[in-house]
Amino acid sequence: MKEFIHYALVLMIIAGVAGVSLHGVNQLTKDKITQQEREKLLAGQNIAYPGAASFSAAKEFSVKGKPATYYEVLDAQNAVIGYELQYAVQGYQSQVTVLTGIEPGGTIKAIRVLGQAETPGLGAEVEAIPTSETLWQAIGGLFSKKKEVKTETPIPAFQAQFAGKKLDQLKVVKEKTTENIEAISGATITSDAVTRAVREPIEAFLALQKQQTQQ
Amino acid sequence: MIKEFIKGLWEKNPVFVLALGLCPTLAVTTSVQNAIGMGLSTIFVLTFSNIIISLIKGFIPAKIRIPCYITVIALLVTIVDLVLAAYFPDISKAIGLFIKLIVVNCIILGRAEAFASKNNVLRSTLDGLGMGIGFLLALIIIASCREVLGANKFFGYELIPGFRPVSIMVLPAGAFITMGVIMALFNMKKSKG
Repeated sequence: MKEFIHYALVLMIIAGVAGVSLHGVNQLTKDKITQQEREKLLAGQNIAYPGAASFSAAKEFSVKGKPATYYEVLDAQNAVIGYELQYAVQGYQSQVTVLTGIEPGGTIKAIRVLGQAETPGLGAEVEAIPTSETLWQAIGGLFSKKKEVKTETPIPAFQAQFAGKKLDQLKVVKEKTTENIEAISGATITSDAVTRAVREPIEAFLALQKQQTQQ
Repeated sequence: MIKEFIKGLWEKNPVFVLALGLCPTLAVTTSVQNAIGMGLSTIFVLTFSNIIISLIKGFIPAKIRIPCYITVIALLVTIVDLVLAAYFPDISKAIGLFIKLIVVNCIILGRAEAFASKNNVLRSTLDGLGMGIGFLLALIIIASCREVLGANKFFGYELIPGFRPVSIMVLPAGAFITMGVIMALFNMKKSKG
C-alpha cells in the first residue's frame, strides 16, 4: 500500500512540474502564435483577392453539410466588392484547406492553399513555386555580386491556373490545358482535392445568395 | 568520455545500427530541408531528456519509470512545438506534424532507459548529443538519396532540368529500400573493420 502511495506521489509531482512549465511556455508564446496565424491568414487573403482594402470578420456557411467560412472583401469605402471562401477537403493524406477569392458573379480572382500535408514531391507540389534557378545556379549565385530584388510573393504554378476561371471550368484533366485545371503529374488525388475545395464552396455560396435574393 | 559522444555517430548509430526511430526517419526524409529540421529538433529533445532523466533518476521508482520518462519527453516536445510555431512558422509548417511524433521516437525512450537512467548527467548529455547528431546525419544521408532521385531536387532546388525523377523514392517503399541499402553498406563497412 505504501508503495502505491509513493508511486502516485512521484507521478503527481512530475506531472505537476510538467504542467506548470508548459503553462509558462504557453503564456510566453501564445500571443506570438495567434499573431502568426493572423498574419498568415491576412497574407493569404491578400493573395486570394489582390487589390482589396480590407476584409470582414469570418462568417459561417455550410457546404454540403460541412462547415465553411467566408469573408467579405471590402474596398476603401467599405463597400463589398467580392468574397473569399475558405473550405477544407480531404486530400491524399491530409486535409487540404483553400481560400478562394471570387467576384460577385462567381468568377475566381485567385486562390491560396492555406494548409496541406501531402506527399513532398507529389501532392505538396500544389504549393511549389517554379524555381527560376537550378541548384548549380543557386550555388553560383552565392559567389556573384549581383543581387536580385524580389518584389512580389511568387504564386505556386498549380494555384495560378485558377485565376480568372469560372465555375464550369473547374474540372481536373491530365493533359496540358488552359481551359480547365491541369493535374500535377503523379498527384491526381491532391490536384482534385484542391479543385473540389475551390468548386464546392462556390457552388454552395452562389446557391445561398440566390436563395437570399429570392426571399 | 569522448567515446560516449562518438558512439552515436558510427558504432552505435541509432538508425543504421540500433534500428531505432525508423518511423519518423521514413516520414521525414522526403526532403533534406525537413530532415534537417526534424534532426535538430530531435537533438534538442534527446539531449535535454537525457539530462533531466539523469538528474531525477534517483527519484523515479523503477516500476513507474516508463510513464515518468514519457511525461518528461512529452513536455520537451510540446515546448519545441510551441517555440517553433511562435518564432519559426515556416519550419513549423513543414515539420509540425512530425514534431509531435518525436514523443514516440524510440531513440529517446530507448536512451532514457538504456543510458540516462543509469549514468551521470555529463555522460548522459554526451550520449544524447552523440545519438542526436548520429540521427541527424542518418536523416540527411537518406533524405539526400530520396530527394535527389525521387524529386530531382536538393534542398528545394532543381538539379537536372528536364530529368524525370524516380517517384517511388519519395513514397514509403522508396524509403524502406533506401534505408535497407544504406544499412547493408553500413554493416559491410563495420564487419570489415
